[in-house]
Amino acid sequence: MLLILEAEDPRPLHEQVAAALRRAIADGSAPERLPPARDLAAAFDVNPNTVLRALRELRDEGLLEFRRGRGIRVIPGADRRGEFIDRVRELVRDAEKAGHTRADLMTMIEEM
Amino acid sequence: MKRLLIPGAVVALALAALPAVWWGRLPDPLASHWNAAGEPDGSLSKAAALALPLVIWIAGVLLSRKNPPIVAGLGFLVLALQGMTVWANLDRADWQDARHLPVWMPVLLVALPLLGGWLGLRFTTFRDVPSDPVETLDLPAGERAVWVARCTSPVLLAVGFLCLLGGAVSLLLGGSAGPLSPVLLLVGLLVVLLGTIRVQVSERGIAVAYGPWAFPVWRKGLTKITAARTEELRPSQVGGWGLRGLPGRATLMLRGGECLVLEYPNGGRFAISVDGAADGAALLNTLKAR
Repeated sequence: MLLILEAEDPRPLHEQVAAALRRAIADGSAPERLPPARDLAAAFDVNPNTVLRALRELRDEGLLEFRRGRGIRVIPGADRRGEFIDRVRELVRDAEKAGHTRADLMTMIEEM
Repeated sequence: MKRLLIPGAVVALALAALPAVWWGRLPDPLASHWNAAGEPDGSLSKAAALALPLVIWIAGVLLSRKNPPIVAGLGFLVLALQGMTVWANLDRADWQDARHLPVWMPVLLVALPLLGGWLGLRFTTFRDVPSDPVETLDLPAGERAVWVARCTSPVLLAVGFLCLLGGAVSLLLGGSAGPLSPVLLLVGLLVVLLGTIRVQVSERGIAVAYGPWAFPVWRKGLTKITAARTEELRPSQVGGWGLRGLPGRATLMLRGGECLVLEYPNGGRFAISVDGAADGAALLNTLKAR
């Protein structure tokens, strides 16, 4: 699984790792069973807790499921979902840069 | 294959010439086997005994044609065996009167092939594989990328753990299999370590972690690798499962299929069976070019 961290990303490290994982899930290069968190941490050269935080984030987004003793699995169909979550995140980021709050965005979507 | 033609023919000619020169002075059957004390204790018909090294040689060259050190070692071995058979039987009327083997003969039979293998390793390169154009990734400067992958052989893991279990049980219960338990434990441990691997590529190079405990870890820096590519390899091509072949031509084989192949500056290579090897190879080449 190829994981890419964007250049000069101002976000906290765990969000960068989550973004890299989301990208790998979205383009389908992530295997059904993800490598253990400590392997990912060693590869990124970051603290395992940072990776765990990123993985929990993805679980809460409905992309991953944690199974006791059987590792972390990519939920079937998560690639499409991951793609949209990626785009929504980008939208939120751009909107915040332009001075719109999340609430503004939600009203915009609801009014569509 | 072509470069093996001349040495292969020279050894074959020597194997045929040795008995041909002294054919009339050799008994039929020939002493072909000696016991631990060096006394002849087995025989084979003259034609069979003298043709056997030739057959082994031809089969060996065909099977190991991509592995010059093995071929060189085998060449030294068959020549030594043929020479020994002819020498021991020369001018004897009956195979039972064949010369006794001196104690240094077995040492010679081990040392000569090792010498041949070393010469093969030292003086040949493995440049028989056409190098494909090097694949790279489109990775903008400043972006960091890592590749993590694994490969598991359920069969090797199961066999390894069964050996460990058997070793532990016989160690605890003693009994007739007691003396075997250290061997079983050692074999089990080695098989388990080779049953699952995790591979990681980053700007620090490549790391291969063996076994369920991800220990030991083998590392190679980017500067020590010329290029990386992929190749379809099967266990039958590399001599089975596990860590196969000599250094410089080794393969870490857990399953047939796509392998990540690291090429070294001296012409050697190391192949690792791992899932999604193409991404790993492309990332290695990309990081190396930076």
